[in-house]
This record gives sequence, C-alpha cells and structure tokens, in this order.
Amino acid sequence: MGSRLDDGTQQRILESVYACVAQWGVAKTTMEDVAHKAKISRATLYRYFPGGREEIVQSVIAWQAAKFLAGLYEVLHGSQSLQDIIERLMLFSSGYLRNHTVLNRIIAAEPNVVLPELTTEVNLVTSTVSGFLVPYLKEFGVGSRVRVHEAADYLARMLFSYISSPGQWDLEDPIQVAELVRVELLGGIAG
Amino acid sequence: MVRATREDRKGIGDLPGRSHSRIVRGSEVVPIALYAGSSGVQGETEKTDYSYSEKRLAVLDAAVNIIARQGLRTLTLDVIAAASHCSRATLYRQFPGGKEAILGGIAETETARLFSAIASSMVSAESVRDALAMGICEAARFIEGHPALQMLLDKEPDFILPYLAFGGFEVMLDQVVAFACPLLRRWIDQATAKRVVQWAARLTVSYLLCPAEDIALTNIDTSKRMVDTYIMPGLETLVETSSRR
Repeated sequence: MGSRLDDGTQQRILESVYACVAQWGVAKTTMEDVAHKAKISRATLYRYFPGGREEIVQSVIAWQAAKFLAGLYEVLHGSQSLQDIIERLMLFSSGYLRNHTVLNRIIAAEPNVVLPELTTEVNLVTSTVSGFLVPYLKEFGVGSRVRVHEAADYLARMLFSYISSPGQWDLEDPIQVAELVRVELLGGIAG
Repeated sequence: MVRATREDRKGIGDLPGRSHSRIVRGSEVVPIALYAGSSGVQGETEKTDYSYSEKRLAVLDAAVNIIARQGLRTLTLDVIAAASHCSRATLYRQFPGGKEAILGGIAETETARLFSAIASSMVSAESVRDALAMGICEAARFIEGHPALQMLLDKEPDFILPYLAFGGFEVMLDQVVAFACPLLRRWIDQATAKRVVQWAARLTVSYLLCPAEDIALTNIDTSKRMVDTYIMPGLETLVETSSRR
C-alpha cells in the first residue's frame, strides 16, 4: 500500500474484496474475482497490494476494525462513568456482531479463518480492546488493589467471551447488560 | 507442580452412563432392558458389557496417546488398531461410526476425566472462594498437563477452537454448569451458582487459550488472587441481593 496512487481505487478494492467475501466466502475469493469486481486489471491490483491475497485480506480486516472503532468512539462520547462506558461498549459491540452478516457467515462457514485470531494467536481483539480501555480506567479510577493494565485485559477478555457466546444473557436488553457489567465485569474493578 | 499421571486418572473415565446400559450383538446396539428378566442371559450380558467398555476405553486411550504424538490429521483407523492391539474389524464393532465415533468417544471420556478432576478438588474446599479457585486451578492443571489437547491447540487448533468460542462454547458452558453447580450449592443458591460457574469457566478458558503475562492459573495462589480480585466482590453483591429477597 506504500505508493500513494489513487485513494478512490484503494477504497474501491477494499469494498470489492468485502463484496466478494460476502458472496463466496474467504477461501474461494481469488485475486481475479477482486480485480473483476473492482473493474481493474490484475496488474493494477498487485500494484496496490504487492503482498497479494494475504495483504488484501489483512487490509480488509484492518479497514473493518477501523470502522468498528470509529463507531465505538461515537457511541462512547459523553459517557459519565466506567459502568456507563462498559454498558455502551457491550451493547454496541454485541449489536455490531449480531448485525454483521458477513462476519457471521464466516464464523459459521469458515470458522478457521477467524477463530485463531480471536482466541489464541495474536489475540487481536482483546489486546486492541484492553489498550482502548486503559485510559478510561485511569480517568474514572479503579479500586485501590486493582492493577489497571491487568484489569483492562480482564475486561476485554470478558467482553469478548460474553459477546461471542452470550449463553442465557440477552445482550439486546439494556437492563440485563447493566446487571452483567455491574457484577461480572466491573464487580471487582470499579473504584 | 504436582500433576496426576495418566495412571492415577485411569478408571475415572470409566464413568457410568455410556455403555453400561447397553449390550452389543454384532454391530447392533441393543438396550439391555430388553434382556432383563430372561434368566441365564442376564449374567452373560453383564459380563460382555463390562469387557466391551474396557476394550472401548483401551482403544480411546491408545488413540489419545497417538494424538499427543502426531495430532489428529494423520490419525487413521489402522494406526489406532495397531496401537490398541486389535483388528480393524474389532475396532468397527466397537465404534461402528469409525474415526468420527472414536473422536466423539475421546471427547466424552476426556471431558468426564476433566470434570472428575475438578470435582474432586472442589469437594475439599471450605468456602465458595476456595472452591472456585481450586476448580479453576485444577482445570488449568488438567488442560496444561494434557499432551493430546496441547498438541491440538498448538498444531491443529482447527479441531478444537470451534468448541471454545461462539456457539460451540455455549454447549461446553452448559455442561460445566450442569456438573459444577451442585458443588457450590453448599454456599450459594442455584441461580447464583449457575452464573458464577459460567463466569469462572469463561475466565479459565480465556487465560488458558491466550495466556497473559504473570497469570498462570496452574498456580493456586494466582487462581485465588484472580478469584479474590475479579469474582468475589461481584459475587458478594449477588449473595446480598438474593438473601434480601
């Protein structure tokens, strides 16, 4: 992506990849499909993404993550307390996951594309989320025995666990979310 | 770190419920109740049933040992037959579903062993806090000390991760709740037990799948600290609320 060619094309490529994945899944999406959908040649496609398929997939993930985080900042604006922040975060994230048809289809049909990233290897989600939470924990304060970075990590793990497998919790219901956040997530953390 | 060896655990997996209520004739599984009362057959069927389940367990153990060495992808019925000293035909008689059935049997047996290990550590606890910490610690020790499971997590996570996230994990959580709640009922009511068991199971799985620095749940002091820090304060508010009701 080094060369600043034409931002419109770059954006169109990412959208085309996303459309291809939505249609055929990750494994079956080829560079030809993407070039065809973006109405460019394979050569042009490789000029934008010299790393090929792998780089394109990673870029789409980063693009989607950035969209998610932008939405999250929007939702968290004006939060009054740690409880308030985590509730909003949980409602927003679970709604995002619930409504993300492409992501849901990948989880159901091609779990191995996403599961290692989400659970073991890089742990992209929890490290991003815990980094995101640290400033809020510092701002609103935590219990005297609580270590901020460890607590942020715990929160990110629990958010991911309850959002990806809610069990008997209805995470569309703000009252249930408030209860879950008060006890399971912040019970030991809130100052 | 003191760890139960496979030998110590042997027999725990031979829990009631799977094959004891059934006998096998040829490749057919027949409910044992059909034979109840018909004299002569009764004693014989019980004997058959017993050796049948022993043999099944021997096959499952042999397969687990192979998985620990070479993973699942290259596991074949021939290899399992050779390792458990029986023919392919015998293997198919015990597991008509072939490799899939053997893997299902392994999942069942190893889950039973995990739950027995957790349960036997929790029964000696004298408080809900200790029960949780000991349960978490024992689960961590079992999983980290399980060569086959570690092999899969390390080399072939595709097989195991679907059971530990999203819908698959909810099934696992239901099983954990069903076995662990009774162990906490001495101190807390059913609804609270259900909630805290899920909570502790999520914590355990998360830190085992993706370890955090300085948090080794196999260390009982660490498990206690995690329970004290993150679970007990919330649990105490739940207990207060439920006692006011």
